[in-house]
Amino acid sequence: MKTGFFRFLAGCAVLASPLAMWGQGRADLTGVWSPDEVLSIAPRANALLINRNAAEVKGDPDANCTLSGIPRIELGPKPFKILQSADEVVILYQNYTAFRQVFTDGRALPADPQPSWLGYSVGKWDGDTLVVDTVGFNDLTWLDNAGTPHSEALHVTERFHRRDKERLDIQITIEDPKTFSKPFTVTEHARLLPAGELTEMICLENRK
Amino acid sequence: MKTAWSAIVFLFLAASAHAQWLNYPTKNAPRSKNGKADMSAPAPRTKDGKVDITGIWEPNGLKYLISIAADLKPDEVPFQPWAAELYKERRATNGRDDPNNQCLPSGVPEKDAVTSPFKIMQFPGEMLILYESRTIYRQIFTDGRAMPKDFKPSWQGFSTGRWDGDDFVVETTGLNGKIWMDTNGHPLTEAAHVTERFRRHDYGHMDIQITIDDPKAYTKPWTITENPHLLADTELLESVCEENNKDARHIVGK
Repeated sequence: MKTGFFRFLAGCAVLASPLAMWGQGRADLTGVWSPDEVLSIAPRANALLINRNAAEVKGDPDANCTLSGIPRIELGPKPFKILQSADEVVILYQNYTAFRQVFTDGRALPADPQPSWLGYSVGKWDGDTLVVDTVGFNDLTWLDNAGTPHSEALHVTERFHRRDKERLDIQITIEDPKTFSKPFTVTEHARLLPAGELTEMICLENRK
Repeated sequence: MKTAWSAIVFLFLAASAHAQWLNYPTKNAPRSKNGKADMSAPAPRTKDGKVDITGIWEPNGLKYLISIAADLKPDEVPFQPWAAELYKERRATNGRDDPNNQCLPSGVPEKDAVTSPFKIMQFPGEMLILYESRTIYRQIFTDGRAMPKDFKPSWQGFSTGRWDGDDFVVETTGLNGKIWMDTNGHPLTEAAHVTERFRRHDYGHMDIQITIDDPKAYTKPWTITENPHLLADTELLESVCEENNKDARHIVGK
């Protein structure tokens, strides 16, 4: 295990310690992360639901192999990988072999975004926590496997915090005034796969 | 033929035209007096002196997507007899069975020719390519790791990269044998070993020299060179093939 861990980290000196910093005092979130369990948002969401939109009754959008939206694509069980550069954080999902760019170069969120599956994400650091704001979603995805709906007004805030070397917490706040009476928050827990790597996963090939 | 061409355009250029950050200035781009990125400025280098191949790149037109062998004479592709027959049949049926028609991914090395932008990023231990087409990524490991013993053959295979002078050399194996290298249908089997040499000449131009070593389909290795250009002051869009694949049922071939 130990050998594998350090082999995985070969060349990544910044990762040598759990609290290693990336560049200007930023925490290092790099690694392959596996959610502890498949998180359902429904228990928190249902009580606040004010508008059950059409997305739910059309059946699971993932059955069409279009991209799961945020946060569903990262709620498990498949792992994801985080890579950091000076100007952006990239999240690679094993699901769909899809990627997501989180720009941390100070650019603003688009004012009138064309609706998309994964939205538009910008991030900023709040101490050791990466705070990611995402808007510009279409309303064709579910928030979780249970079918929790949302509208195009969805605004997702994710707070990525590496609690220690092996633990990542993602505090996910869902704000969608057209669908829920008030914002609510769920927390996902993920564990580092030290010698792990993502495998190619093409939805159409796994569709049952 | 017209049907096949419209399918190419649809499947590879279907990204939304209204997405955001399309005019976001590229950091550290050399600028001409008119403020535009200077595409003939010297290639940038990383701190360790290597040529920096990062950036958003795009193939020059459909040429190599239609035929990876576009620069070769027909008899210069060293087909094995069965592969020549298969290629002939794929041409005769207008690419009806191209996996791309079903929204399956482009494999290595077709990806280098798909006429959508791709973004190369460099991280400790890997080079990463983000493809606008299909919103898919490819990891090229530079940390010395070997292909895992239980690696499952895939569309993108297992890629490792190293520097050879100013060339970034990528070796790929573990491909799944279903790959069409272009819409004409040059086949590639699971025995393939593909070598790509990424060579950035200046700020705005790069060659990708691709060597196909696939003894099952070809009698000897053969090499072609593609020539993508840099896109400055923009960003990738999101493109989801399955979102609107209405063309598939119209691709009847013949």
